[in-house]
Amino acid sequence: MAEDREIMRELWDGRVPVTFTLAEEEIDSEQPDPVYLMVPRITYFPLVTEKITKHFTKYISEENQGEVWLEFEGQPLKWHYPVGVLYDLYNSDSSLPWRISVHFQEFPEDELLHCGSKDVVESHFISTIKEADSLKHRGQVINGMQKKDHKQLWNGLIHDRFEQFWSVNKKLMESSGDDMFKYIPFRIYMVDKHYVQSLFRPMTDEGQHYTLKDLLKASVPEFFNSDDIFTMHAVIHGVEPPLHTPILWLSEHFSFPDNFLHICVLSTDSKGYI
Amino acid sequence: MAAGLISPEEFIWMSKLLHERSNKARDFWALEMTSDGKEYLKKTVAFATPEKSQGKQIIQENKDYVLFILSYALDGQLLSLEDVWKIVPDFYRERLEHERWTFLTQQEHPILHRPFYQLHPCRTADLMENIPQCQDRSKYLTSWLSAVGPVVGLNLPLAYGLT
Repeated sequence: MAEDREIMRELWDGRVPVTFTLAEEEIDSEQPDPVYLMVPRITYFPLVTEKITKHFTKYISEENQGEVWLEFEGQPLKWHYPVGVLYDLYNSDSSLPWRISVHFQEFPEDELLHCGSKDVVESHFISTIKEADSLKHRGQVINGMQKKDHKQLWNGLIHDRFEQFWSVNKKLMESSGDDMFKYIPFRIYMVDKHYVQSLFRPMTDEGQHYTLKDLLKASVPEFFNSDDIFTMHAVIHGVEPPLHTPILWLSEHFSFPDNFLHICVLSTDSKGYI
Repeated sequence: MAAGLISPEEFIWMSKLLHERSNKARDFWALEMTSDGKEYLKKTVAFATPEKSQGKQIIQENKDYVLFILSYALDGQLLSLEDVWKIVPDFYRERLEHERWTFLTQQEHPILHRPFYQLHPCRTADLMENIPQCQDRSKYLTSWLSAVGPVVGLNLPLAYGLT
């Protein structure tokens, strides 16, 4: 079972300060006041932007009120990635608060998934956990759970209840004996590139732990120089874990609530802000 | 490997086999490759939808053998999730009504990285374990496709059974 609860709690409580502004090209007459919000790193934007959307729609005519979407410096933000991943990936000069534009027109449907309701987010969240468990335990743990356990994971996330979430999640994070993770659920994100995901085992056949460096070397070998030095920065939850950290420990403690280890590979330093 | 599961290597072998068989059966699945060298099977089908008189559908499957579909109307507009739900034959309708959000939803395609509609792969291994034909590994993918394809209007010609 996962220990080091203090670390998990700290990551759960991570927030980023965000300013939401109505996109300039969509302003009808007067510029509405921006909205400031401390957004949990582990959540998804549609779960926190309801009030913001309501506020801005007062300022735009009805015919221009299409599906809401967010953008940062020309980059549409994929709501199905956790907020912290988007922040680490795109806000590279770490200016605070993070300035995000809110759009109601010209939904970029080649890039973004539609999100008509919170049901869509719940469906995405649970199916990501299922994918993670099929990598870790061939799906046996999540499929052995009842629907109410799935609900408890979801309710824990949306109501910010750490204990409620972890009382179920600990079963998914079981990694001893027969329940040893078969593969590590992870994705590596880079600016202007697609994410990388592949099968990676937590240990060698001899039982030696693979490290974060091993995983990076297997997934993004192009970022190692001839001296075997990693030339980029690997950031998770806004922090840069040492490269010799065992990948199994990271998977147990640094995974997002969706059970995936979301790693941003950046050319700049981490912001040291969680 | 447990009876219902296949390894990545097996999957690649099975995909090539399915590709060959589909050609023989004149069903024509295409083996495509992304710019970064990842392979997937693709098939384009045109059919009538209940609302729009004609629709076009591109059906794709990637190495995790999940069925992904991309649906367009003839005017090039993407069909909405609600429209895609309407394609699902009556036979599966009850399941769709009850399990709307764990059945067929929009997801980012893991290889092509754009929005696709995904048929949820839950319990694929359980399903495959209960199909006797899947003991013969060469029939595994055909069996799978014939089981899940009809949900999105993708029917397998009988000619597959002859090969």
